[in-house]
Amino acid sequence: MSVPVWQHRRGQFNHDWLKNQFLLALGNFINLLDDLIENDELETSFVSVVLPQWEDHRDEVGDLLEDFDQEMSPRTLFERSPLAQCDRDTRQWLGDVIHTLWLAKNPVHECIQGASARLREADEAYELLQRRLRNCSNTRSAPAMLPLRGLFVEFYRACQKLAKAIEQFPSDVRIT
Amino acid sequence: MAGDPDRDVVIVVDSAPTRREAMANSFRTQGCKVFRFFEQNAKLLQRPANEEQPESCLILLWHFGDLEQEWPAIGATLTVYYGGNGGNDRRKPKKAGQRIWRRVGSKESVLNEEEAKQLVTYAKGLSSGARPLPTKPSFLSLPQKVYALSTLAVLCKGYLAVHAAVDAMKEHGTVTDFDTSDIREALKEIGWDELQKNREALQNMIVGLSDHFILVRSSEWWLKPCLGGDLGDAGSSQARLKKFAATAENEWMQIHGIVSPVPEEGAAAAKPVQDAFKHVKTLLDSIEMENGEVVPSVVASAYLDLCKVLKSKGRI
Repeated sequence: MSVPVWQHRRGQFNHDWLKNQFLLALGNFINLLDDLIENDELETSFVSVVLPQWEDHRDEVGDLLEDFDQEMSPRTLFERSPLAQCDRDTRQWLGDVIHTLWLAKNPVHECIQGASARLREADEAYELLQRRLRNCSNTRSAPAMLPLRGLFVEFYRACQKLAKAIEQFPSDVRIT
Repeated sequence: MAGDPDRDVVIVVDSAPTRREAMANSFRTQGCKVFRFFEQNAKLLQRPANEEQPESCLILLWHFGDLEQEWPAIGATLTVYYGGNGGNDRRKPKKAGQRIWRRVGSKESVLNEEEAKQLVTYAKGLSSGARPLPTKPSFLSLPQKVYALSTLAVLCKGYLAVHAAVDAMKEHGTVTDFDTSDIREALKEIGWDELQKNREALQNMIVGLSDHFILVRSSEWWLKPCLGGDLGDAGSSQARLKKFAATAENEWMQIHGIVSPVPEEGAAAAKPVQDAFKHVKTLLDSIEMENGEVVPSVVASAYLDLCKVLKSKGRI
């Protein structure tokens, strides 16, 4: 059974990158600030190499949310057999009906709005952290960055909430 | 073997602590002795560290993300992989083993107690060499294609929406026999009640919908998609429809765990499942009638039954 492209993109962003790379690294960095672990490479490169990855990846969330109601709508069932065998007129009006009923019965827009809000919160936490980092005397030293620990934690939690919000979306095309 | 020899041994290899503990707990409630492993600095460690290592186990549950680490020589009757990307995870191993096909990304999506029980029963059956082979839990199987049942459900929804629109606009006179409990329930199922709460969306949708009233009642409208699809070289229209109907019935039976053709010894168990297909069968018979008219009561009853089975597959 083919996996919807949207689901594949969601997996790449949320599971593969956000949860299994970025949040793990961010969590480890907080542990490092707390002196629970030692990792020289992480300490010296986290702010310059790992943290800015957020800027590279955050647009993927916007694209995912924007595309969800088209790519995961049951209207897509008309693009392949057997429903593709319906005549053109039926494909159009029945596709619209199925899509509208799907939107009416499922909290699609609420899910999208919820995840968008979590993305905004993560962006705000990131921007605040970056602003404070610009005034930090040494962003390659854990003791120098320790006063910003709370902001790192806030950003970590915001990313966790975003991951959770993205997880809530269904992983297959549902008929209603 | 470590621990009580009478207890089934289950191993969970997972570096995410909350998911690992939730998975382990589902098996503990089945009376299993559970050992846990996790990755640290590219090595698999046991938790707690001072626990004796088992020599073998009944079930080894292994998170995809923890596969790269070297595994101590512990034999398993059944190995099951899982992860947050579901069974299609690109890290899926080539070696033997089963996969949980749904996404298991957090503690909320681990096997529940009932599923753990099914897995233990399955593994024990494999271990004892029982014949016939024990039933494989559905979460270990590739999600089944249900395209015939899905197609019928979509057509039913369109049909019911057209009739509801006509009824709402009082066009074509009043739709006869439209106010039955089955039809009311079916309209609720398709989301008509929710749609009515949004006046603008309702108005946008019903405009023009009543034009299709005559069309959707004709068997020809239903036939088109039923004659397409992956049905092989089924020949004439009638033969193709029969094949579509047979596919729908097979999908129905398989969803209920019954494989066609039903063996003689399984006939009694299959009977109620076959009987429950009767409303969908009536709809298929209506479609098959040349120049036939498909009536609302038949569609509503079939749709309600389709809903039940597709919901069980997570498709509705």
